[in-house]
Amino acid sequence: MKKRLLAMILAGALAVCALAGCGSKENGTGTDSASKEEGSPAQEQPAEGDTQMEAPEEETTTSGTTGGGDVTVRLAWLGSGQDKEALDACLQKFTDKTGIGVETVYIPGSWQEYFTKIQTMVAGGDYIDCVYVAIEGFEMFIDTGMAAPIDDWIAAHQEEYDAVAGDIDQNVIDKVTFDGKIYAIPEEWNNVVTHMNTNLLEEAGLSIPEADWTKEEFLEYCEKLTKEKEDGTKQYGVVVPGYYFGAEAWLYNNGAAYMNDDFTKSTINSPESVEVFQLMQDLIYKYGYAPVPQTGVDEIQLLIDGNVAMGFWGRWPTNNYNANGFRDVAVQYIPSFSTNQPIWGGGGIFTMNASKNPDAATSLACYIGSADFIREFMAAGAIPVLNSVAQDLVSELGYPQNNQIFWESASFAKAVHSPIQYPECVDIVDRAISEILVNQADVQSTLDAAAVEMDSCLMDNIE
Amino acid sequence: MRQKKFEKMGKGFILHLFLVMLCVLMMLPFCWVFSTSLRLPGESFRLPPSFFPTDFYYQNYLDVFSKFPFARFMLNSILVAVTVVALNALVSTMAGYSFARIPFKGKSAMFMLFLAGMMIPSQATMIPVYIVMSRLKLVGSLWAIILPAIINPLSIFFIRQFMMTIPGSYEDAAYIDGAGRWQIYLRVILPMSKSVIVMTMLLNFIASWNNFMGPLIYLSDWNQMTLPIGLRMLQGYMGTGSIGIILAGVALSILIPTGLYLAGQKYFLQGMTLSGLKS
Amino acid sequence: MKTMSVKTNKKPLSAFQKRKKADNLAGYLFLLPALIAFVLFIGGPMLLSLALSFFDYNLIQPLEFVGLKNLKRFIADPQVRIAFLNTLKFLVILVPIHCILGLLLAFAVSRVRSGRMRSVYRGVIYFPTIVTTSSVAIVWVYMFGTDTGVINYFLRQLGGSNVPWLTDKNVVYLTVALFSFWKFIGTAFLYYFIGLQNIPDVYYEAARIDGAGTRQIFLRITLPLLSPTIFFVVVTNMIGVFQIFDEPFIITGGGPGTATKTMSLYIYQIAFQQMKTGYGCTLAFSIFLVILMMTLLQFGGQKKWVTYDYE
Repeated sequence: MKKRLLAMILAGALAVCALAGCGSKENGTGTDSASKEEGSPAQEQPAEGDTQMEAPEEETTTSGTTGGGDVTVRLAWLGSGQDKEALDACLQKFTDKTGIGVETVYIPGSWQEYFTKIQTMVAGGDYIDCVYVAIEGFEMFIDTGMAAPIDDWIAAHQEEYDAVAGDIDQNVIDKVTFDGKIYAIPEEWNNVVTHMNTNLLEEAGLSIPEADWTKEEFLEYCEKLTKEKEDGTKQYGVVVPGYYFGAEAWLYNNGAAYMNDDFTKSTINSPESVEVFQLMQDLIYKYGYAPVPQTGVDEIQLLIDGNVAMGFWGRWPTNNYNANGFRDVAVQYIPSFSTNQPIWGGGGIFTMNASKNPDAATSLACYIGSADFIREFMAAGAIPVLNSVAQDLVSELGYPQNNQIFWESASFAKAVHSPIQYPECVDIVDRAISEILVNQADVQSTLDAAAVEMDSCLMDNIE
Repeated sequence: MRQKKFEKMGKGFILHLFLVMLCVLMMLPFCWVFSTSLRLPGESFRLPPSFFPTDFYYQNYLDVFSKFPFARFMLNSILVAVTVVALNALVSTMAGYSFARIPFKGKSAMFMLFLAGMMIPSQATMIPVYIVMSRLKLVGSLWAIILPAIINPLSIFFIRQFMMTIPGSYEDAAYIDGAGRWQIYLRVILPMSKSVIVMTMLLNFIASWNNFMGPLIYLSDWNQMTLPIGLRMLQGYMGTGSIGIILAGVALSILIPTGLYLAGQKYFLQGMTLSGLKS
Repeated sequence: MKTMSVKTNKKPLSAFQKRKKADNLAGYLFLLPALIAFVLFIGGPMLLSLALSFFDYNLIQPLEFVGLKNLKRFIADPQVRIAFLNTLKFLVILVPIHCILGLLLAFAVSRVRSGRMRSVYRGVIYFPTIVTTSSVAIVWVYMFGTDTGVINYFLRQLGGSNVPWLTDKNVVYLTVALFSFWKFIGTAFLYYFIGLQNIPDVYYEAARIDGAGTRQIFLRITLPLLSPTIFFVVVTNMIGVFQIFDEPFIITGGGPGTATKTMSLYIYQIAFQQMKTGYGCTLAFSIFLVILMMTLLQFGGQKKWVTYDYE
């Protein structure tokens, strides 16, 4: 008895040692660049027993380029590292050209989780040189002092910068400019458009609508595309965009928005906004054209599987279409409820304040924003901000049909509202959407309550 | 007489029928997981659903390893659970021994303190512990999940209850042979408490294996993730299109605790029946 | 529990204990590891949490003392009321499910004569508790889908219509309750089962000789003799339900609307998504106070119905 127990504890102790090795090694990779700088080889030698366990980690946790000189830049990237070979290959060219090494830290999860994790990494003293940030995080990164302006770098590398920025709409550059200072090299963006399963359109005898199609035409499409399928399940005409970005895209097309452009006052309960949310609710309950939104259901998949005929997303579903070998899809602008004002949500590479090599970091950012990099790295997914590249890449993919609407609105798309209080606002909007679309709550009173809540959280922005 | 016997048999039959039905219902989700994990990704949602494998598309099981660091998730989960269980057992048995067998000043106050610890919800300590971990630069490391789990007042309570039932005469004998407290703890009390130790170990293993909140807030690196959070990330990445792959992951994640449970069940039962026996 | 410690004090000291009567040093030395861990991970953070509720803190910028601002916000915050109310709803639904159904199940299984069948039943009922909550929760989300889910498919086959398992603010409680029963009934079941095993057979034999039926045996013998276990299960269950997080987080996301937004979910959102650490601590401390009050009430009430002295 005693022996077995001892054996168990011993086994435990062994595991502890292994973990300890793990932990210290993890620190090793964590400060890799630092140790390289100091030329200290000590951390490169894990204990014998650890090597096996460490092997896969070294390969995938972070990945990096080889042949970098004294300077290595740490780049934070959203994702699981599935694209690491492609990314490494692209970044290798940067290292070859500049002698600056790149280590990429992959952080999986949603944008929200990604920002939170970076925030805590920074708080915990784990420094990062540059980071890909989407518009949802712009204000937050600047307000907390995590991001640094790059104007000095631009002044010193004007030519390099112009080669990239010259191909980007001023409208986009404005979105990374705060208080007259430029903070990032923009990279990619998305609008929100109507995606249509062309097989279902054909079955219903419909063609792709005009760019300025109206609410009435839209309802007509919905009606014709909603039907009972042979196996007894329902084919829905449309799935409503019940998420922050998508819903505001609908609001924009009715001249409404969640808040004013100074982020000081909520306008979510304006008559135009109420009208849009009422339409969404009616699509589900009054007309029965749309399914009730549900957590855990992938709506893009519903479109691919033919369970739903129309949905509202940016260009990111092309990844899903690719993965499923699905090509029968077309896109058109969101119906003009009263106007056609495309939305803009994108991201760029920010240089962190804590960076030890801000110069090298910004150079890397600029390289990632350059045509060289984007042409090679991006095929499907978001829309490149570089106008020339965007046109080529989007049409090269060959589908969805009518795909020029992805890039042609870059010069007049309007940014999704993302104040510093973005996490709170998302929470408020998500709850309101869920109350309206799932619990069938009264639209006006729900939005009134949301407006009050949003006002109190935007109060800090009034100066 | 005979009628009564019949009645009894009838009752027994109804009891069995009820329990068998319940057990079948409880196992159905697992059957669905298993059979769907063997379907082609594109056919995961094919209706009618099946509770028994109809296809044998085992590629899903290979994909889950090749497309994701799934082996790494498992290894991390095992590392965390084993470390937690070992450290927790050491800490809890020592404390349990102290509470059960050593008279010392302030013992009941101390014991009440630990009992009160059972009432403190993890949410209440989560944030400060997080801040401490971030200062120690342990955010993102498995230690951030392990360390808080080495103390579990419930384990101490169980072990103390059990050790109190061990007759003092064993200790006396060891003492006369010249053993000190530590030796008595190691050579007398621990071996006699095997059943309750195995029981708390299993309970702690399960708790650690299922821990979701900890990994959710501490782990950001794909390769440092444990199974619960890794699987969730996997779901986020694959979308519902490749549910077969996710379910293959789910099926695999069930494997280890199942094996352990089957292996430890005997001790578990012994531990339970022994737990209450008084000398 | 108090009665127990009193009882040990009354026990005559063994020779060994007499000789080393006041072994303060040894007592605390053995307690030391647990004590350190307790201070580091339970007691200390608890106090820190109280202190932090008077500050604004986002982990990056320095602490800012704000006095009672967080408390004022707490009182005015409608989300707090919603989250507490939802937690309370879960309490009212889930605690009886586990405490009562768990007991009935344990009793039923303990009545099974065949030892092999008994262990099969026990194994199966306990089985779901050992598998990873998040992974099976993912499975349930698929199974409970309104249009594509397995459950609704069978309901349709049987002539029923789709049940909005996850998309109705009331039905969603049924869904979570079903999940909770399936996933966690094993824990309560097992505690009861242990308790039942520990009731000496002599009591049952005596009752049988007196001609008592199953129901009478259950009411007159099982229940009173099991009362310490029942008390234990009720207390731990209530504390557990107050911390309910995984189910709403994975299955419902707190929705629809705010229907299943619990306190722990709200704390997570505030502290780890919105990075309002100070206010998160205020929320967390409030949960502690409520649990403390509830537990004290139960300990006060236990004297009336819990008997410890059958042994």
